[in-house]
Amino acid sequence: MATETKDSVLGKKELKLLTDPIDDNNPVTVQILGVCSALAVTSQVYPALIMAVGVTLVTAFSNLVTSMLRKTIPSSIRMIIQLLIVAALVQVVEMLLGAFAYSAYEMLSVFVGLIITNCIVMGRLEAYAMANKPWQSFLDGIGNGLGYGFILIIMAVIREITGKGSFMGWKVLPEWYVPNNLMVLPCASLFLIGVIIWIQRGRNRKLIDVS
Amino acid sequence: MQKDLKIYLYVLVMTGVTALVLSFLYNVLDPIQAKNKEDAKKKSILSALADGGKDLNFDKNVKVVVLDAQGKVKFEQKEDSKQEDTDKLFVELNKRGEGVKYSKLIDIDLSLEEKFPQEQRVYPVYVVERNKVKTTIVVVRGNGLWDKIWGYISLDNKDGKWAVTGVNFEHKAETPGLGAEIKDSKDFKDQFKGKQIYDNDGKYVSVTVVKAPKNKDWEVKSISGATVTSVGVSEMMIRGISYYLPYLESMSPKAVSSK
Repeated sequence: MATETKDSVLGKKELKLLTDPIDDNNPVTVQILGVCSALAVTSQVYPALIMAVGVTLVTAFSNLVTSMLRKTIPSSIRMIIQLLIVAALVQVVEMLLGAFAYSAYEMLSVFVGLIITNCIVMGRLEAYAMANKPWQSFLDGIGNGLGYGFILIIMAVIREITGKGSFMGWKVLPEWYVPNNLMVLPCASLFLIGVIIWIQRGRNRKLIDVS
Repeated sequence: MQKDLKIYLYVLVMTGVTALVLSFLYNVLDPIQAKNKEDAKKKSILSALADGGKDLNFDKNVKVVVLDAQGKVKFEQKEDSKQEDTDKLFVELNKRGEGVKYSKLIDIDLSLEEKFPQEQRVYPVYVVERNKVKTTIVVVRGNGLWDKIWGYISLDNKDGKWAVTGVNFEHKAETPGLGAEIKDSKDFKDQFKGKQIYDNDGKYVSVTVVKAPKNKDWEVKSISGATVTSVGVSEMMIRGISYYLPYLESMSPKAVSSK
């Protein structure tokens, strides 16, 4: 489909690939993908930020590699090959974190490995990278990673401030504020996502009745 | 047949290439990660000190003592300790198998010692010396709600009585805001400061975590909403420090008999 139109490095279509997933086609709030990690790693801003970067890297590069190989991958084993690419990239991200951002690596622990099960990654590979050119796929990966990260960070900021009275580990609310423990529990992120979806649909008329 | 062959070859080549890339990166990045891990552990140990030990240099200020399962000194690091002395210890410890390979004193860790039966384990003690004052840091390890928890307990001997000067707890996967508070909450950790591990009759009591502390000498308040983790900390404090008692008592014979 998209391959037939003319390409440019960063034309209108390419920009749309980057911005679309942030609002109109957000992977978390519109496609409802990657929710599990959005529940798990958003109790503080810093790990959410690192997770967003990790997922963005993995979606971007797995899209890129898959798209480059898309014409050679035998269709009967394409899922296995996609998994192999994603698993390798996740491993690379994990090793990079361990070497250069150790405290984040410790905080995220098991969730880095779980990027591999993040539905956004496989979803984009199947839906986009298998049918589009490498550069466009790469941008699509970055866009979806950003869209995911955007929601993650909104949630993490709200949860850390209300749940711990701090932002990036710094105390920002005065002493008299009693941190609301409920906000750091996974269930809080569930209703927070609900509220975000509600606000987004109230604001963005295009999203109403699509599902 | 031809088509199958292509598929097999494709998978083989892809796996081969991925394996090569990953093993290359592993070789480059693993030493850096190992160093990070070691530094994090040293920092964590020193954090057990009352003032956080930020001004200390682990390699200079800390001497490691290794105890056997009976709490007797097996190895003591001294100013003039040579590589051969530690090597001898490592040969003996590595002989136990289970894939445990120590090459530095800081490598000795209860997470690895757990693999062995109780009577084969060794326990590290970190003796911090500054301005001629010695503080003993012991390691405890137990179970939280989701996974392992562990902690470094710094102990001071005042007039023959062992008292806690500070603690630092770590956990693998406790719930943020609840169980994870054993690590994150300064208030929780500060409660341990000044607590005694022997009662007035010289009986070992350790420091226990309870809902409503009655005895302010050796009881601290648990974290509400994190009962399992709190009970885990309590159990860990009782059992964990008990391994070190023979050593602590040998350092201060008066501890038991003192009123």
